[in-house]
Amino acid sequence: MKREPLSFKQTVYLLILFIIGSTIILPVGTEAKQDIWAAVLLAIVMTLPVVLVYARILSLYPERNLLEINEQILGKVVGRFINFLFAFYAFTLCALVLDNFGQFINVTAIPETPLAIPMLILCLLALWATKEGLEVIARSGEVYLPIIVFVATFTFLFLTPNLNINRLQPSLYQNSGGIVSAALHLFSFPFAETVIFTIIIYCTNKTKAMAKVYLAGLLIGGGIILLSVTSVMAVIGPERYQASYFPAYLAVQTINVGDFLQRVEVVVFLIAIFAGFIKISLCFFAACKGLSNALGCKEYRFLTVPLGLLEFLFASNLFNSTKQMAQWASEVYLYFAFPFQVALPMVIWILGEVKRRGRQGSPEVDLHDELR
Amino acid sequence: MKKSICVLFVFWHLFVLWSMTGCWNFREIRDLAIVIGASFDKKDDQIYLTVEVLSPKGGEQEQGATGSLGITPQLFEGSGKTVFEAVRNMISKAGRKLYWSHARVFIVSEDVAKEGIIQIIDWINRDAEVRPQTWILVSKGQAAGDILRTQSKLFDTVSMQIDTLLRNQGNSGKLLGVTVGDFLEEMQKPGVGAVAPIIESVKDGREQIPQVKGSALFKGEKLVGFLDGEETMYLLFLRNQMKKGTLIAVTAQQPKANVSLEIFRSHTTKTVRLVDDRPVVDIWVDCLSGIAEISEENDVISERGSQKLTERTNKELRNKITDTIKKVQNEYGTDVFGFGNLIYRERPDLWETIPKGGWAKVFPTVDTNVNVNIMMRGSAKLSEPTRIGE
Repeated sequence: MKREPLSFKQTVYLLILFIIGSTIILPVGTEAKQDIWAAVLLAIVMTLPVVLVYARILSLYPERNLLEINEQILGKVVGRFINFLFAFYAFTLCALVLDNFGQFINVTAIPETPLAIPMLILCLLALWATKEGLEVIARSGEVYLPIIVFVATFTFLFLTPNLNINRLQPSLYQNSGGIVSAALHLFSFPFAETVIFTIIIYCTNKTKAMAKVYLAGLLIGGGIILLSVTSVMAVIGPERYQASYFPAYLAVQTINVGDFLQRVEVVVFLIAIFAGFIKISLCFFAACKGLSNALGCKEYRFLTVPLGLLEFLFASNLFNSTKQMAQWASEVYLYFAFPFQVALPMVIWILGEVKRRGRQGSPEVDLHDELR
Repeated sequence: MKKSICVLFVFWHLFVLWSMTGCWNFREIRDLAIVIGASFDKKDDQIYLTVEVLSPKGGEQEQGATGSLGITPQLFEGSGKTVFEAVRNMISKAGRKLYWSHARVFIVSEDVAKEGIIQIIDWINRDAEVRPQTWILVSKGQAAGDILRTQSKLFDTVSMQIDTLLRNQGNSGKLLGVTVGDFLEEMQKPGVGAVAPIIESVKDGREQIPQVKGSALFKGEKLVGFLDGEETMYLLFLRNQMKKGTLIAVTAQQPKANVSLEIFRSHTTKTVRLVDDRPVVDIWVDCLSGIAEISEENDVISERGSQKLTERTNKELRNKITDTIKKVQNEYGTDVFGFGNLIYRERPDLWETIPKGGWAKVFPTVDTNVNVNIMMRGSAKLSEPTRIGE
């Protein structure tokens, strides 16, 4: 199998883009109301140990991704079954993100265009990128992130006159239930979704310290999310934040610099589509890899076209309405994602540590040959 | 073989480039009826919608007033059981689908506002095309459609005039322009009542022209009362939205002689404290102003005179602000000053003791303590009052 090594920078960029992904447009953490900043901080803190576990799993077995590690630890049959489950999760997540973007574009910009059209275009693009390989996705991430950061910085600067700290008050007053619940949701979407990365990346000489990669990605991505949701909250207030499907869009609508610079909502599309494309591609890539592993194939590329078309069909039939999408995201997703984000990685980690203790004496090389 | 495929590819790309421009619901600009302003009236459970649509005319059109783009507005009326139905019914009259993204003002008649404004606000915020940055106004005593039928003297359309006027509101100090988004937020926030400016059509010479003056007060989604221009000024002070404006002060020595003060900067701080378990709101108005006009020979510039003027003005402004609060508390009972929101933000524990929906009962009993501090800065170009020779 041809290896596709990524540099440290590329991996971190991908992680940041993955975390920004669809989070930036959706109303995340509504339960925390005006204390959303606290919820985001809490969610980042909650995610820290989990990503350290992900990183640890990868560093236990250098040069292997989660799929291969599963096979190694759990044996061929069980390992492949677990890999199939992970592929299913990645596939579903990809469809969800695809659906979010379809709905976003459909609701705010082109209501008369069928929902399927923007989704199909995004899906085909992700399919193509996956067929070209991870390198291509990583390099496009390297191009997109600076653009996103540049545009987002200016958007934020133009938004500052509309920020009103009063909208964030009363802060931290008898709202711990709301904050914790919002933090749990934020934990499952988007922070712990980075479990997908364990399928994509592996520990190499270039990305020696996996923990470092994960921490950098999480903290920078989380920082961007913190800044964005807090400023959106301070611009439109908790009531409108809760009521709207796409609050960032509403907030950016208020930008008006000297009656000259206004109607810049399109920048939200720019950021969302760049980051979203990366997220969709990575999830799709993980789904293809996982499925090919579960089927016992060495190559994943032949799966991209059939799986991509299936993805499109799945995503376009996933929900009947925007409300359904929002409801599923807020009520079901947390429980759906928990096994993949926490339970399974924990089990794999513990088993991995145990096995490692057991094989302390045996040389590394054997392990490599064992798989091939 | 290879070459032919290449050529085919180039042709295919050219074909795609030419044929797939634009989006699904692609519309030429000539197919649009661009709405610049709209008004909502209600009669017999029917919503009557009047829209001002731009109809651009080319160079053949005679030039209008100065600065005019030669655009003539067209008015269309439509009705329906709901706002959306009225909008869609409009197509049968206008012939084209209305395009709402450039709407600048929405005028709601007093009757509609009294019954509840929510259906209009909801549609504006929900529809993808309409922007929540549009101004909202209430027409007092007249049909909202009549406002759009007035004449605009300096502008192409009435809506453009209202839009420019509200954007320049800072210089008048008696206007409180509110966008639909802000209105919605105030309607939803705990402990604050929404406000919208009043618009009337008044006779100016031979023509009827629109005039924006005063503000309409809402309790929840329903209109409950009006404040006139001067009271709106005090409302602006109380909401800390006063930026620049004119303030008239009367001097201590001669009550009849007026001194006009210009406000350069103003800042209002509000805090809440408890006295005998009842909330008391302290209000501090800090205002930087200068003398803009002295109508009689009067010493208000020397240190002593200036001090007297300041004291007098402080007292007067304080009384006027207190009167406005009392009036709103007693007559309308809607918290347009945001005292409730202040308590909610700064003393959430206190806010919880008020039963849900009970703020309307508590608000009229809130005691206020207004402090005004005016700082005088100069007297424009002249150092003395204009003296008259013997």
